Amino acid sequence: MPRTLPSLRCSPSLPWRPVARATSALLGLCFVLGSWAPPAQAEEGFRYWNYHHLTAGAWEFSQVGAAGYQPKDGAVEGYRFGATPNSDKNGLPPRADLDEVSFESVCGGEQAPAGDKRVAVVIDYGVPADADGEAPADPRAGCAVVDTTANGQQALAAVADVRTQDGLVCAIDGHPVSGCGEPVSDVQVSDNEQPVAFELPGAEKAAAGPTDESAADPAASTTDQDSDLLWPAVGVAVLAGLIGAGAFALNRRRNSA
Amino acid sequence: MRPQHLVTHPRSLHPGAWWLWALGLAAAASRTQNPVPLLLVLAVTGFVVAARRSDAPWARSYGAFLKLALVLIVVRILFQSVLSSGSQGPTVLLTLPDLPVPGSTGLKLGGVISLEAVLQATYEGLQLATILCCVGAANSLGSARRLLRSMPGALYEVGVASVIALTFAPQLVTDAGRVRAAQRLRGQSGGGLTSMKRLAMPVLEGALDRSVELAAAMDSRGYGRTTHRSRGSRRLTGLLVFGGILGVAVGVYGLLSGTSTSWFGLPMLLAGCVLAATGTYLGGRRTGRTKYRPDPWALPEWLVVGCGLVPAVTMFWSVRTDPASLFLASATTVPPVPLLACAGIMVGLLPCVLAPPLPRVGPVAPVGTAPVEAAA
Repeated sequence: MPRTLPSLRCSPSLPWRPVARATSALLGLCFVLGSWAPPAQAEEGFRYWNYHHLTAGAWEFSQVGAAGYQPKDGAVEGYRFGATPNSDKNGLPPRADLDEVSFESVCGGEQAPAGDKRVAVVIDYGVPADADGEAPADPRAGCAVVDTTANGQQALAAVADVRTQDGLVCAIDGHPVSGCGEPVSDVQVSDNEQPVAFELPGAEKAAAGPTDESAADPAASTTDQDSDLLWPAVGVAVLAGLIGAGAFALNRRRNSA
Repeated sequence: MRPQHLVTHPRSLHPGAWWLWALGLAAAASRTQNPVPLLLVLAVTGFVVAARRSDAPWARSYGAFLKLALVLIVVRILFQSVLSSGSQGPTVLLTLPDLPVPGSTGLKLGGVISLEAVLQATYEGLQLATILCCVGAANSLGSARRLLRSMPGALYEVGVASVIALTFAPQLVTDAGRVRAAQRLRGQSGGGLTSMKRLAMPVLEGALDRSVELAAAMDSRGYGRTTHRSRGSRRLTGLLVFGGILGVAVGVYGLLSGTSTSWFGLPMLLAGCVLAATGTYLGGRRTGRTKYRPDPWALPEWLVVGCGLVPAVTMFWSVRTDPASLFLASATTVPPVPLLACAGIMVGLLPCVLAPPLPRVGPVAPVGTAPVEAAA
């Protein structure tokens, strides 16, 4: 059957040329705005947990993430929170006096069972300038007794609360509360930071006294805290469950009706 | 008071109101990985869908979305706990036989599976699943086709095109089956690339034929007629609409990513909305077209949209004032309860009574049954 194409009068569709112009103009504007930066000396960087290994008596900025590194038995691992300029290749080391904070002073009181290893973890929460309003906690050190195959992140998680995202350590002990590796536009770098006192596990035990076990044992205090937090969470979960069950019942009734 | 302003007057709510309500809940869910508010959002969407869905086929899609969400969580757990060493913690659940993978890649095969990794994967998966279920709720409460119908005049042609595409897509499958049957009758068989080529040509030709016929039919009925507008005003409209859409996209990204600076998000979103609204208004004047029985936008619509906005606003406020209750310090800590955000999410439950009930069509006896019963 011979068929002729109907003559279609195209309705004026979207006006392409002005659209292209407008888009390019807007893209250009976005580019200009995006590349705009506050003027002058301020260095750009990120605010994150700098990860260091103690090698040959000095802090060495780790080239891999904590999850990708397997510390040996007797290693000392350092974490320091702070804004680090992009140009800094050595990172921000923990402000520890290495004469006082050593593997012996941190892990001396612990024994590793067979198949486990001891790793000293040094945590420096940084300076108030890098914290959002709140004063950072006092720097401390802890001894992680973990499986010999454990990586750096597992050793860290054995002594502190760790929030991770996509394999990055975002927060230690809830510091910072939110965000992960936030960009900072003006990094303040101080060249010679003074060493600060670290809270060592042995010293804490001695201060608390041998009889007061619960105060010295961080695990016990966290369980107390957890049981306080547990009931509201359970309450809301039960509420959500009730609403969900109501939805299910309502749906059943409608389907059968 | 006109009947459409009553929340008890049976009618179907404007689909746009349902979509805005669901988007509000999704925005709230996008800001936290705390499982407590997430579960609450999930339950709220499920309940409102159960209470206010219609009997149309798409109204059952919430169940499909829920299943997809569960699959998503399971897949996430599998990938993150078995294949990644990124979030493993010291609490070992079980140890699988593992294959050696070069170190420092962050990858692994089997090996240690820890509680921390499983919990973290569950929480991250739950967040995605909740957002997915919000979209599913919007889909099953407000028909996408009716939403397309209530599009502004400037986007009318695009809307008609999408409706036609949605209607014709299943036709392609039928076409392919017909062509394949014909090929089998002619003795051609087998798979592979050549048979694919033989199949694609007739199917494409059929689709093209059909669209030309449809275009001719629509043209003869006066579709696509536009009132005359000058070239300059058309340009202005295009510029406004596309600038607005771009602004909205950038603004939404700035608002939801949570990392960019403040000038980026809300102002950009508002400016984009204003631009796009002006553009669509100007463009809408081009099509001199009236709407057949438009869906009213009355008090219940405003109430439902408000019930969606409250969870989003309270969640954003909580993130700003009390972030510790929305971000878990570690995967194994007991999740804290953000009371304000949870109360806001509970407001999202109200549309189960604030949205008007659907008009009943079920109990009406089909024509023709009554005489038979009378005879019997």
